[in-house]
Amino acid sequence: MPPEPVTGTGPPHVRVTARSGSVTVIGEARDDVVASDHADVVEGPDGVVEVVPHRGSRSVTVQCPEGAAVTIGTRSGRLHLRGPLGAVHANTASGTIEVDNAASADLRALSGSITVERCAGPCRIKTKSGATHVRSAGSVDITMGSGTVSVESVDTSARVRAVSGSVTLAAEGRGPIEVETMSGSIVVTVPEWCRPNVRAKTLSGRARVECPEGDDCSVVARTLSGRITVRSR
Amino acid sequence: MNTAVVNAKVLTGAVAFTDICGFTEFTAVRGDDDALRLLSAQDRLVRGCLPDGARVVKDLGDGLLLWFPQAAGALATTLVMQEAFQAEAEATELPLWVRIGLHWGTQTRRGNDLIGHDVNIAARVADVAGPAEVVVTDRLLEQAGPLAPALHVDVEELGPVVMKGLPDPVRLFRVTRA
Repeated sequence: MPPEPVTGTGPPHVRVTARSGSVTVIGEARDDVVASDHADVVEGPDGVVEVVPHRGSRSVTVQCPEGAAVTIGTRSGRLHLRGPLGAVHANTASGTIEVDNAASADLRALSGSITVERCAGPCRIKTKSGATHVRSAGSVDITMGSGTVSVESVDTSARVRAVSGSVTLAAEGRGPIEVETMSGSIVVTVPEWCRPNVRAKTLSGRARVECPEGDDCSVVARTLSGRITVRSR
Repeated sequence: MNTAVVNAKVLTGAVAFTDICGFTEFTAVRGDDDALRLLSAQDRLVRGCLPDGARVVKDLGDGLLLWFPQAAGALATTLVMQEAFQAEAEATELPLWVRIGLHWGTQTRRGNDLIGHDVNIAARVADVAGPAEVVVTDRLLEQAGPLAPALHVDVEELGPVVMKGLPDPVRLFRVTRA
């Protein structure tokens, strides 16, 4: 028998606790929360809709209203959050995380790549090893152990700390940018109109500012080992 | 009650793990002398923040194991520590990227050391935290409960987190100054 849908007023908060296997959450035009057959959906006393996949489930799909807040924890497997969602929190010990469209995001993987297509607000990412790619975010706060970081567009502030790996970040010039690596090159791109106030420091490597400087936004770039380039589009 | 219970063998309190992110890479690039500076900065700042009754249980190389008698005190102190690390990093340009995990439970004495399942949980929680973050378990927050509002903190649920070696997921929270 399929699980009973859980309905309520306003976008719900959905919490998914999985041990392994892929989890897909789809935000769509609907009022209820449903999950594929092999998962229980229960509304908890705190109003959070709990989705618990049955043991041994290989994949679970959850459909929820647009704008729902989603919290997911799993040990391994792919996490895919599709459709317009609210605040998203997702963590996995080993697996990839993909977010299509969220109001805000906190994404953590001990090992695995993380991809965000669009995050309207703050986008916080932490991974020990794996690539991080953000196409568009309101702001970013990214911590990377080992791997590459690529941010195509950040609207306001950006902070990136990478232990080992290159960082490429394109900013819209409306907030401070701070990028630090222990070992790895840094490339920061600002809009053509923006004249950044640049503080760049590298112990072994070359720091180049290839755009006119001014006071439109602050760019701090530091690396112990690697090249730094600040340029305009 | 937000107070530690102590007997001869078993303690009840908060355990924190601190860890300097990227310490191995830092040492490889900057050398042993600068690595020692980084470690001594962490040690000095942590000890300078500890309230009465709390202690550094042991040195873990690039991290420290700390014990606190009270949950709210542990929370407040670790937030102050992060502020101190940040100020030091800005002043010295040392990458003092310290993450902190915090958990409330029971611990068993082994000489001056503490061991036990709740100690292991705290260590795993630190793995989830990022630089400059304090991440805590639901048990720690429950214990700090009545005093938490006075700390003026924001609490954000990170979710049920499945951690290596632990059979059940643990609900973790990121705590920041309000």
